[in-house]
Amino acid sequence: MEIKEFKIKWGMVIDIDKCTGCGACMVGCQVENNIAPMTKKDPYNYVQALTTHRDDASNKLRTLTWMTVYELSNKKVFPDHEVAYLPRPCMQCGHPACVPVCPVVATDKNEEGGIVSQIYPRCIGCRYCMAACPYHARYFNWWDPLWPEGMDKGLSPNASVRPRGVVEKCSFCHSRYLDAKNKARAEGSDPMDLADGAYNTACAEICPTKAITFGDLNNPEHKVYELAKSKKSFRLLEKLGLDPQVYYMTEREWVRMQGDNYNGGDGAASNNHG
Amino acid sequence: MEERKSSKRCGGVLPFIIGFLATCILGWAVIPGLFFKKVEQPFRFSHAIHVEDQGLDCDSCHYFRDDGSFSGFPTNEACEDCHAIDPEEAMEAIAEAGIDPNDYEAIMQAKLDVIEDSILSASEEDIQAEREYLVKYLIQGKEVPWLNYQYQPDNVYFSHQAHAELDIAELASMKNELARVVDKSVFDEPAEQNCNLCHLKDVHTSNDLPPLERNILSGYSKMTMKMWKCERCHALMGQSNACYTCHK
Repeated sequence: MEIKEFKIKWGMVIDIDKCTGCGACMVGCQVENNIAPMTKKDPYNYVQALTTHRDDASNKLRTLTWMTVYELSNKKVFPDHEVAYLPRPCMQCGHPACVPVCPVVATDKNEEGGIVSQIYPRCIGCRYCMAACPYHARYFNWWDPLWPEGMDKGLSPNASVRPRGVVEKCSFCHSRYLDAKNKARAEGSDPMDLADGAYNTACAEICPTKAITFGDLNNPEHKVYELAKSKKSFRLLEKLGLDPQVYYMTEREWVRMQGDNYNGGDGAASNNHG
Repeated sequence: MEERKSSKRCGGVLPFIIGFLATCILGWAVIPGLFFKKVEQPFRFSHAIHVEDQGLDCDSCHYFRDDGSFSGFPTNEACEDCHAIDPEEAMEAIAEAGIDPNDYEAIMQAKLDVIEDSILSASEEDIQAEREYLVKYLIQGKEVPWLNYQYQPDNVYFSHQAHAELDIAELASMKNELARVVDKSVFDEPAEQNCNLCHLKDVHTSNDLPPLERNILSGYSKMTMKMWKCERCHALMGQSNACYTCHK
């Protein structure tokens, strides 16, 4: 199937060898995008005795983590044992599996920049997109978001909050893109030719080891242009042909093999939630 | 046979037409109005006094920040540039007069010197409005909860900066195509600023703000730009209608 091409292609290059698995990207993402912490008790539910408790953060199947860090292991015994950490945002695929399955066009890839959009009020919560996404990058709101008292004061105006019953995913902090274009217009420069770093995602900004680099994959003046072409670079499940806009880098062969979900006949490669 | 006779006695098709017309009038003219409730602004505000009498420009209060974002409504900090009053001094005077600081009506009626001396208006009507602002908001340190005629839901990202270059005079050639999106009268005498395209027409010359018409079901203002209008204009102007152009 034809891959949608755009003049600008926002992409990310994540250096797995630099990632320490600290989880700062996950925290930055949650704060930037108003992802509520999972709380078991609902102080506004006055008939709690008659209803079930909400899921808490220990239920990883129902926790929302647009950006999540996976722990990879080479499954060898000491002293050959090695681990690697793999941060996983939405891949913003060039040929997204989630878009054609959406019955209500709540998700689309039609904007310059190639970011796959997700419009929450339009989503009917059928979760076809979640089934279609091989990267498990989409999440369903099993519960209405609930912020502990006081924490709601710190909500970000950059992302709308989602109600129970809709699917959400990483948007490459899209409102930061709109902000960057606004700033460019105010400064009299071309909003369609942003300088490297003018638009950056929360996860890339917060990463203490700078393992995440963000920019326009089509712009030779952006760092990611070269990084994505590096010999060390690869993409997850590249064999599926979804043309992800997120690249990974590593010098370790066993990590690259797991990135393509390589199962060397002995079940050696497996991913665990970090 | 009996039934036919009775239908003729009712006037045949005429009652049906009358009923049909009555239903149409009810449905188109009467019922839609019942869905909107008029809500007044917190106090009377005259743009004319600020713009025409005091010579303020639009961007004295509604300006773009350096990062391209738009300031929207002015805060007390901006108003204080002219409406100079020391809130602490005012609250002390209220306490000395033995008035409950939360009893706004009593404070206004007391006409305390510290408040009256800082009033800049001339006519009684304007003085009352200004006094209301000083007592209810400025000295209390509360921002004015202005009602936004064009309030958009929080999943909408609207950039004033992206629309700043639109020129009403240039758009006049498309006024027929834009007829359902923009009030045609906006193009009769094109204003220098393009605010009239979406906001209250010529609000800078008004002495009072109209009530906001709020939909009792959805809570939205009647004036709020609907998505189809945004899309129509974007399509006419050759702009993208991708979801993420306006949504977040």
